[in-house]
Amino acid sequence: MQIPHPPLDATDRRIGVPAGKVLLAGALGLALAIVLNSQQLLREAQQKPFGWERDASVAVWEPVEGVASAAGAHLPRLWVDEAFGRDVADPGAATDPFSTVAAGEAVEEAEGAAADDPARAGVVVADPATPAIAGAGSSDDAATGAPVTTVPWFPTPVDPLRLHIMGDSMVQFFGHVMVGLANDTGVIEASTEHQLSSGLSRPDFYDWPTRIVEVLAVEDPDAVVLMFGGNDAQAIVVDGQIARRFSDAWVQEYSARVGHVMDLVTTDPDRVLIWVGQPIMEDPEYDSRMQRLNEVFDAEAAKRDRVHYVDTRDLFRGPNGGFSRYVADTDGQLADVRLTDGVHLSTIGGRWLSQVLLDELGLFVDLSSGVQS
Amino acid sequence: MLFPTFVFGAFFVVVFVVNWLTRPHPAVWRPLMLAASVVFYGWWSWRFVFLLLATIVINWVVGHYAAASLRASDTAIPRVGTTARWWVGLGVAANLTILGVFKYWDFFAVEMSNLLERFGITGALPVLEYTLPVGISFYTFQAMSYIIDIGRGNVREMAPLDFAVYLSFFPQLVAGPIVRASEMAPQLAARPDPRHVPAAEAFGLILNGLFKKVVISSFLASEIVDGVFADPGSHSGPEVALAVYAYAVQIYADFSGYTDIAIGVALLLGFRFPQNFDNPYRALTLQDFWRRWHMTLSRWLRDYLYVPLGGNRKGRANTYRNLMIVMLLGGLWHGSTWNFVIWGGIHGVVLAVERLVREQRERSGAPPILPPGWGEIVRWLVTFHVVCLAWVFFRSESLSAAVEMLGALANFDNYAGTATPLVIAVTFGALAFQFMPTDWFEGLRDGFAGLGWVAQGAVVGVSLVAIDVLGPTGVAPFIYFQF
Repeated sequence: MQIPHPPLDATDRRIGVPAGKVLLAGALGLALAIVLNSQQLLREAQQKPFGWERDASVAVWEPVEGVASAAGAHLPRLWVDEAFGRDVADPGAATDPFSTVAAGEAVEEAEGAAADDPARAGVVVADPATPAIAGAGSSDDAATGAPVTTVPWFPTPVDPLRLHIMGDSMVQFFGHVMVGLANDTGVIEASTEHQLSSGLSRPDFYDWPTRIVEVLAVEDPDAVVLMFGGNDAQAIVVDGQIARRFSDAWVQEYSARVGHVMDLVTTDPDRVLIWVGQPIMEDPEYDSRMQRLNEVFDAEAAKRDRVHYVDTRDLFRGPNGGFSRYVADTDGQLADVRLTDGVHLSTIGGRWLSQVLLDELGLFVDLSSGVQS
Repeated sequence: MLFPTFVFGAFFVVVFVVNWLTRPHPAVWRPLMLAASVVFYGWWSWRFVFLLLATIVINWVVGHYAAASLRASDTAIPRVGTTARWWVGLGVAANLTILGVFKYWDFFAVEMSNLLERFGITGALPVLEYTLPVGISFYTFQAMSYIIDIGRGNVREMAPLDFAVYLSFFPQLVAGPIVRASEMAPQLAARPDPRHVPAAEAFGLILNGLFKKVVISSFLASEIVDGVFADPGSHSGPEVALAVYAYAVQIYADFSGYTDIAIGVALLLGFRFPQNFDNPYRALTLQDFWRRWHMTLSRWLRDYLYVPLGGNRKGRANTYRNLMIVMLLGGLWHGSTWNFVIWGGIHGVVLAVERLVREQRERSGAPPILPPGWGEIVRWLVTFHVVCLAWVFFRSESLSAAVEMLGALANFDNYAGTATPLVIAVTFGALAFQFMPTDWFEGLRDGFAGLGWVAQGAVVGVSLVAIDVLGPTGVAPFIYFQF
């Protein structure tokens, strides 16, 4: 819709009102919007990274939300959100999805759902007694190209391998590309989902473990690609206490969370997980944080069969040995592989990464019976 | 700082109060308004505030000396070789250099390096990889218009702080409209009456802009456009076509939404910006489209490029050449990729063909081929689809991606379920809305103006919440910020 604009010299004073009244109307409008939206504003404040900014935001919005909720002013928004089928959990009411009990129950539920799914009956799967990837879990295999013992698993166009790609905004920029490349093989049925600004540090913002369990139960993918970390280098809550980024308590808890997610996915012995490491980042400080996270991913993957960690740093290393938007391809031609934000991948970069991940998948799944593109 | 955030809301309440309290005192108002714009711009990156300030200083100094030379030469129009003309040339060169370093160098260096690499020459040109400063194309073009207009004798030299406020004025700083000094200078000199703020019009524009950006643009981007453009091969032809139509709506809603908010915000501060959109998808010709789409860029290109090149005054061949040059450079204005060049090229070629056909028909005096009514429908269909074809290149990240997208139009299977009834309704509903009469807005505006301030506040508050409820979580930056 386009609103007509009067010419620049329009001087229709009839509709003008004093600036004071405009201020009152505008301020009232903002105040009303704040009151009606108080729960959402408090929730967003609580989901900020721990620190002074979050503390200040919460300190501002908590009393507003308290008064608004006491007066029932939050209810209209609540009703509308419920009508739209949105998550309407109270701010701060989130449970810990990484707790041991919750994880155990979730795994059992996922296993049960997968076992009960008649749609999986015809899929040829590996012997559960045999690790799907002998020696998998060590990034050395990927880095050196050493042969990995593969399961004789032959997905076909009739009985394709189901692949699900999940993660944060990084997945937004390569997930769809990988789905396309995977589907082009003719033997993979791929799907993807992402949640911006999410990760494993703040389940109160987005609860990935619960979502992953849902996906496993409903989709029962044979292979899963996960990429997290871009938003995870922030303080996290451990036993009600805030653990500073990369403190011992932080590393211990974050490692446990990564391991927990890996276990969730690989509870089913017929499923493999490819964990994608963070690429080189433009900002040196951010890059060094991502390297520390990569160490955690690598270490946790190494403890588990059927979890394969893929190091992406070399793939996107520029001519100067560090970050570069432009990286030479195999023909020596510079390609624009990163976005201008110095973090995310361009479509070309996404294509490169997707091909590497599909090659990785091909180490333990025979993709040759499809129509290779 | 993004418009659709409470941070901006709080920022603007403060600026609004300071603006109207200090406006009668320009010596106080100017530095405060400049400071507000610096805070607004620095919210993204403080580093680029210095580039903005440098642009202000360079252009004011150049404008000052150009104006002084004009006065010394005692002529209103500088002749070739006069000092004023040299100053204008220097200013244009300085602006283009800034733009070139930040926006175009890497494109040139990569293309040249790849070419030379084929001949065994490596590392010939360094790639700078500078971050593109937000809004650089907008404020650089405004700066160039100022010094060119001074050289032409169309505007008078502005006082340093007036010029700084003009170039950095936060409502239009990062994504236009491209306001000229001749439009802004009289408003800076005037003292708007604080008893007559056009609040109804301003609030209407702001709420309409927020709705277009937060609800329409974000919905179409997330529900169909992003997914299909990222992986067209996994979608059916009709879905791909729908995604292209949806992108046409998305980019219009995104950009015109920003413009509406910018114009509304400026109105509340006592400034009136030029119109930037006029239902562009109603256009029956491409020439008509460019009179309705990004109108302030169109007239900039017309007045500072097309006309100086000779416009349509030097024969038919030169006219077509000029059209192509203008549209190719217009494409490059958006970004340094071949896709933008092709986008501009498509528009240039079709504009030239349109002109050729029109002139031939006028010369021959042939009657219309189609009966009345049908001719308009066919022209609209052709124009809209040419625009959509060009949008494919504009939106795609690479040439191959655009070709893949167009190829996927022929997919007869792979239905991926993105063409939901809601997506179809929003896409075609938004297009149909362009043909609606606009009286309704004037009625709404007058109705809103008749309300007391309490009722007005209630309408604004409920509308803001409704927009927030209907939109997705978080707000993506406006598409035109990247240009």
